[in-house]
Parts: sequence; C-alpha cells; structure tokens
Amino acid sequence: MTFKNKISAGFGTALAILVLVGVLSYRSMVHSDEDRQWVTHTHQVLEQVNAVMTDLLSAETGERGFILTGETSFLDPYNDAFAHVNGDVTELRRMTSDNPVQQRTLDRVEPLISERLGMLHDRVELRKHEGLVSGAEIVRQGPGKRHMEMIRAELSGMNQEENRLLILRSEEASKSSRNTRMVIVTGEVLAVAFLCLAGIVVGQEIGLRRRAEIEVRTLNTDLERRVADRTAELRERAKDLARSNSELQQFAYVASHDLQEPLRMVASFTQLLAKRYSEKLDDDARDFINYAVDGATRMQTLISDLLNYSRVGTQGNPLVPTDSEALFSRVLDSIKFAMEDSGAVISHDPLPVVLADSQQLGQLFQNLLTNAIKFRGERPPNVRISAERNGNDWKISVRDNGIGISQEHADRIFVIFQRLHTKTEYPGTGIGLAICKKIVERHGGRIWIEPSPGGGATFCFTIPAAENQNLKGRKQNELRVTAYAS
Amino acid sequence: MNFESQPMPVDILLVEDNAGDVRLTQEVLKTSKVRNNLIVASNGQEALNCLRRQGKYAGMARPDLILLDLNLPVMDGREVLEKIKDDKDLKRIPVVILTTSKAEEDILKTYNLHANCYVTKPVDLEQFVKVVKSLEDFWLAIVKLPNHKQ
Repeated sequence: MTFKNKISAGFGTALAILVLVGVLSYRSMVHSDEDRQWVTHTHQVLEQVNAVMTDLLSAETGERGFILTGETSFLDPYNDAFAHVNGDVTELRRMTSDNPVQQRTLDRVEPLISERLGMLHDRVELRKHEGLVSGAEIVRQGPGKRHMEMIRAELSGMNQEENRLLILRSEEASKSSRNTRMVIVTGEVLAVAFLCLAGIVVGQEIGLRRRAEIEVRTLNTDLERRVADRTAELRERAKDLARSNSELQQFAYVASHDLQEPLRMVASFTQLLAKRYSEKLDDDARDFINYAVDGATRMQTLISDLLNYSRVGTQGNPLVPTDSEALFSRVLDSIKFAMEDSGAVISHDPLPVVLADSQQLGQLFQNLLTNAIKFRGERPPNVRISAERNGNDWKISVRDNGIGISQEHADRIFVIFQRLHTKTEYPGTGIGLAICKKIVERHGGRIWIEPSPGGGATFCFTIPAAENQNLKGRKQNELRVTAYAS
Repeated sequence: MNFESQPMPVDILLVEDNAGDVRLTQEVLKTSKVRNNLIVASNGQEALNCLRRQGKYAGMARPDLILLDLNLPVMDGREVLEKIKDDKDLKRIPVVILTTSKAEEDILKTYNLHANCYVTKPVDLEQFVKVVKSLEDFWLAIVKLPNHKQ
C-alpha cells in the first residue's frame, strides 16, 4: 500500500467513525429524549389519576358539609368537582389510550364514578327538599362508603400500573443515555486511535523521506566529488594529449626539415661529384653514386610519406556532408594521365552524400584508383565502383581486373611500408593503403579486401551516410563510364 | 636594375647556417650570367648586422636580394624577416625564403610576415640548380626593383 493510500485510509476511517458516532449518538439522544418524554407522561398520568380522585373527594366533602349544615357555601367545591370530573376522566382515558390495562380499568371505574356522582346528587337534592335528618340518614346507611372504596381501589390500581411503567421507563431512559455516552466514548476513542495511527504512519513516512533525502544528498555529494575527480583526471589527460600532440607536431616538423637537410647534402654533393668529375670516374663509381643518390631520394620519399600518414590523424578537417559524386569526378580529373597511359576504363554507380573530410575522402579514392591502375595485369584496367546502403553507412566497393591479392596477404597490405612486390616490379613505398586505412578509420568505418570473381581485387570500405541525404534527384542504376583516349 | 645598364655587380645576401647549402649556392651562382657578389651570414643576428652595415659590415653596400633560410641559430629566419619588414630602410629589399621545410604553417607564417616568395630546396641537384637559376633570373633580370643604393 502506498503512503498516500495509507494516509487516505487512516483519515478516511477516522472520518467515517466520526460520522457514524454522530449518527448513532443523534439517534441515541432522540431515543433517550423519547424515553424521558414517556417518564414525564407517566408522571402526568399519575397526576391525572390523583386529579380524578381529588375531584371525587372534593365532591364528597362538599356534599357532606352541605348535608350536615345545609349551608350552600359547602356546595362550591362539590359543584367545582362535578364540573371537572368528567373532563378529567376523559383526559385520563385519552392519556392512557396506549395502555389497554388502564383502559380496561377505566372501563370499570367510569360507571362506578357515574354511579357515585349520581348518588351524591340524589342526596344533595334530598337534603335540599327534606332536611337534615333524611340526608344524614342516607349518608349513614347508604352504599356510598363501599362504592368509594371500589373507586379508590381501581384508581390506586391505575397508580400502581403507572408506577410500574415509571420504573420501567426511567430505566429505559437511563439505559439509552448510557448508550449515548458509550457510543460517543467508543466512537471518539476509535477515531482518535485511527488518527493516531495515521499520524504514526505520516511520521514514519516523513522519517523515511528525511532519511532518503539525506541519503540522496550524501549520494549527490559523493557523485559530485567523483565527477570532479574524473573531470580533473580528464583535464590532466587532455593536457597530456595536447602535450603529446604538440610533441608529435614538433616531430613532424623535425622530420620535414631537419631530417631532410642531411639527405639533400648527400644527394646533392654526390650528384655534384658525378657531374664535375664524370670524366675521371669509371662506370663502377658512377653506379655507386647512383645507388647513393637513389637511397637518399628514397629516404626522402619515405620521410614525406610518413609525414602524410601522420597528418591524416593530426591535420584532418571536420566531417561534413560531402557529395562523393562531385568529389569522385575531380579525382578522375587528377588521375587523367595515368588513365590515358594505361587505357583504363572506370565506371561507377551514382555515389552518395556521405559524412566526410572531402580532402581525405578524395585521397582515399585517388589511392584506391591509382592502385587499381598500377597493379594491372595484361589487360587494360577496368575499374568498377559501386555504392550500397548498409544501415547508417554506405559500403563503397572498388573492383578491378588487375593482378589481385591472395587472401593470406589481405591484412598485411594495410600495414605501413608493407609491400608484396619488389620495387622493380611495382615502384612505391607501401604507404598508400596504410593511409587509406587510417582515413577510413578516422571516419569511423573499416576497409577490407574481397577477391574479385575472375581475378582482380575488390577493395571495400564503409563510410557514414549524411543523415536525411540519399540519392534523391539522381538517376538510380545509371552507370557512368569514364575513359580517356591516349 | 638592368644588367646591361648596371655595370655594378649585384649584391646577394645568403642567410644560411649549413655550409653545404652555402657551397652549393655558391657553385650555382659562379656559373651565373649576372655578375654577383654573394655575402653569407650564418645566423640571423649577423644578417641584421650586415643589412644595417654594423660591425664588420660597416661601409659595405646594402644587398639587392636576400635569400633567407628559416631555421637558424641565434635568431631564426622568421624573426629576421619580421625585423627586415618592420624597418623602413630594409623592407623594400626582396626576401626569398629558401628552406627545406614544406610545412604549411611555415609557408603561411612567412607570407603573413610579407616574404616576397617561398621556395623549398629540392633534394635533387639538378632541380636545385634550376631553382637557384630561376630565382636569379627572376629577381635580378626580370623584375624592376627600386634602386636603394642611392
């Protein structure tokens, strides 16, 4: 369960409990209110029973006083009671309408009261018309006393019934107010418990978060320190690289100037010797001088090749989208004479736009084409260049019909100054393909050789395509053939 | 500065520390059609002394052409070139950079310092002879130079 869910559950439960407590205690209070009303009602019924009894007693007392004295002033309470008693009984019947026991008692007591009142009335009338003796006689012998006892007994039964109900209802009322208290107390305790629980969860979560925060801060500090260390290390390495680069440039300069001067001296003075003293030298001496000059000249070529090789890495231009088709045309122009001399025919597919240093790509094409022409067999060179898209790269193939290269030498030929032939067979220092490899690798590609069907060699290299550039606007499958008549 | 109308020999200052190169240049100029007087300074400071006719060069004629190597002891060729081209009396004298260096940065730097031309010494003797003769031909016979001897 997530933190948010836990919090929602905790507070939600507490809220639900509070609502429930509210509802229950409201209901409980309504209930105990009703119970209390019932208690009050019972008291009222008791009072009403007493009122009926009092009416009867007042009527009787008034009647007796009048009968004994004949004074009409005694009839006032009698008349009052007479006026009220029926109303009070009716009221009592209404009040106890919910209680069949009391109703039945009233059914019994009502005729008794009517009878009693009739008796009292008869005796008052007798006393009025016949005087004291007959009235007192009636009172003395009459069934009045017994009658009154019956009424009293019935009413006291009613009282008892009401007192029983009173006890019952009071208990009811106190029970429901106990319930109310219990509901409120239990609910509050539960709500507080859930709030506490939610509080504890929040507290724990805050603690966890604080710990996590501290941990993250520690990790960050550590990371920052490591980044700083690494940056310092890289800066140091960059400095080293810059130093070694400048040393390399220094070396290149030394090679281009200081190493060549002694060579020039050797070559020039041996030549001067040969020229100035040609008549005094025999053929051997001239031969030796030729070897010396040739050696010095070759040494000089090697140095300048080595310089060109090292410049591929140090003096390159940035790689930019380059139209290799246009570049290729310029290269063909530059090797025009070699093509004329050999009768070479060069055909090529439409060439793509690639990501390259155009100067180096030009040199790559030129080296591969001059190689194809140089290492020709008996037939005039026929060179075919094709381009094939391969993922993010282009694969360019240069296929010739020359002497070919056996697969066992396939790797050696890309090593600097490695040669497969003597200088008399094919001149050169063995730098061309090494430079090709270095150029291709600087462009993030690779170069290899495949045997050509029917003899010859196929040099293949990959070069990154310029993004969103393709052969659009160029005729597909259109082969362009170039040859110069000699 | 026409040869026929100028009976005076042409003064050439060669600033070069390599005795072999000095000798080769001398050999070539010996066979020149133009009468010339080759003065050799083996370092930059000496070259400036010569141009300013100080010390042992006092009273000497100011050269008509300077052949300047770049890598020299004491004061190297670039500094000499800068000082010559900063000097209102010397800046008119054509300076030919004659060096073994093929380095792009040397070529760029010396032209920026107003070198009059830059030539790389060829290894082959015949080529070297051809180059020195061409220079002599061009600078001493073909181009018109101000007459700063006056």
